[in-house]
Amino acid sequence: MNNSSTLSKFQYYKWPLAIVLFFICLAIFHSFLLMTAFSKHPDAVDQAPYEKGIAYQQVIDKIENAYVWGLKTEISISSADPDNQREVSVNILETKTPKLSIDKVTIRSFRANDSSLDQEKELNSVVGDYGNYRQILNLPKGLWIFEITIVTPQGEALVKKQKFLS
Amino acid sequence: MTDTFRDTLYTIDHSGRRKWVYPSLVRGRLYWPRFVVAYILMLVYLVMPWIKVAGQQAIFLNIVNRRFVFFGVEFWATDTFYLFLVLGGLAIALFFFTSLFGRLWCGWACPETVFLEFLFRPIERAIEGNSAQRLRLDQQPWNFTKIWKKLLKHGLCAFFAWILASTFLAYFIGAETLIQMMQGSPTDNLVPFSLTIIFMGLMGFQFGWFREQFCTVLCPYARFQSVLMDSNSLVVGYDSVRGEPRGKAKKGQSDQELGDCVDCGLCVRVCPTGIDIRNGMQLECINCTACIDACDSIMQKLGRPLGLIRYDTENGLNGERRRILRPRVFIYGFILIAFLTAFAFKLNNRVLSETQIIRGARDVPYSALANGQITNHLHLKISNKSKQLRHYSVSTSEPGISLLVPNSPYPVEPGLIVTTPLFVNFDKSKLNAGKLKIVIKISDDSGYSELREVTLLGPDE
Repeated sequence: MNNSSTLSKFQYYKWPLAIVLFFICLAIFHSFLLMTAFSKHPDAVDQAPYEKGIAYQQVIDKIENAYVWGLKTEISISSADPDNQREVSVNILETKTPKLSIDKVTIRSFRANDSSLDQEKELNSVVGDYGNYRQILNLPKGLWIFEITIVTPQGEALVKKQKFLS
Repeated sequence: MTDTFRDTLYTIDHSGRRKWVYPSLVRGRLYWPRFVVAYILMLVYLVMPWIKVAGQQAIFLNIVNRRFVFFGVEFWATDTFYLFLVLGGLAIALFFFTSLFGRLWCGWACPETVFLEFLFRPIERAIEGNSAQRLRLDQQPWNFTKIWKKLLKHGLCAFFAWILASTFLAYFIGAETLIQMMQGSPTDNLVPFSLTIIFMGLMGFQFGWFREQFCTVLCPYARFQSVLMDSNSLVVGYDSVRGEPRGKAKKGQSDQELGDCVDCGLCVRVCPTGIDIRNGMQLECINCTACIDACDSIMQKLGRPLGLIRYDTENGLNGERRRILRPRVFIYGFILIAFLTAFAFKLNNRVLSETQIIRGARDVPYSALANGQITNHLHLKISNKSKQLRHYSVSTSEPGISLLVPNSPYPVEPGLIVTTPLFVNFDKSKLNAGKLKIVIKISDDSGYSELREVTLLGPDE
């Protein structure tokens, strides 16, 4: 008699028990996933996703500005001296009139998978030659990526270039 | 007053992260009516599946069998016109009440507000403390106290979410069926069991985390309410004429130079969507009236007139004339009455028998009998929506035509749809270009009768 009553009560609570068990299993499963993630992929969780998102949006806006302002850039790089110093010449051509007033032009050069030679410098304008900027950079041979930032009173524009230097 | 508040949502900070809202509780003259309404609504929601009207669950939305019961009246999936009238009526009612009373629904009757403010938030408050204590608890590192408080809160919320989820399911599969299912193994009824878990998960997500974000970024009603309201709709608003310039009187400054608002910020601290009502009418405001109670409590302490924040129309707040009866109120009201009248009329004259005569796609158009007559094999489809056994008869006034059904009168059990063969025999001579149009009368023993025109086919000789 007692057994039957216990069984009947147990039957009545099958669903609530199953729900509790389900959530316990879910918690264990998620704990396992989190532990695995933290131990094997500590970089999987970004600590500052919003800040990175905003920074990325700023880059997108700068690229968009270059497109809207009709900026075209040509980059020419001289051959290297024994110390790998090369003269980088950036020529900014624009289709927009009146011409943009350029406050400053900076260049950032970097190589994939090698941050040891990353560098960022301001380019010097060539007097009397609108849109022509030059600078000496340490650029050993290899594939280089250049980010040219053009600062104007209206905002900043960004142009990306890629060159293989022999 | 600056307009910087228009640039961003209150619950998002400058970097795009969510600002968690910790609303304080103020019990004022509008809190208690809301409390009573909320618990009546919760009670109705919880007990409705257990109430029986005319032997059936009061509200039973049997989607599987496509039967929908409302207080003893059963609707079938074919009753789409009733559905149109109900949905149309509800939409117009929403328009009508919004144009008159603004977002009364949001503040007083929306399940989001009712369950969050009067069930889940009180649990949170009971375990984690007032708004300042909750904020401190969330900001402190994980320790034993924080863990047990969070576990207890979420455990209790999960329990109530289970009750609500099961009740919700009971509306669709029946309360008694659900109880039987719960006594068996979850694997025997995996779909209802999974639905319970899913509903619980949704409630956990909504009431535990998403909360006011639903009202501010997801709810469609919040989006289109602005077109339903005008400057004479009732809103919860701040009387800027009386309140500004806000602030506390500085040393040597006269009270006369300032408005009634002392800029205590309590109206902001009690707001469940985190807004500042003093910035004017905003999409995020759910008209919960918490700021009214908060402001009144301060005004009372200062001995100033109540109602600096109050239920009023935009015109009323600006000191202009209030107009309750406007063209839109009459138009919405008229359409609403039309929908209600049409629904009542249709319901009152509801026919509980539905019949169709159809020709089977695979049936031969006609057959010749040994006695020289032609026979057409048709199908008689009968829906008995009543709760009694009904007997259906077919007849025709056309001479020389005989109608044959397996049983005459044909019995149909309550709530069933049956299809029975119907043979129509007639002389070939009655045909005109291979066709003969006749009218068949279908009637039952409750007084239902309907005439159906049928085109019979035969040889074109």
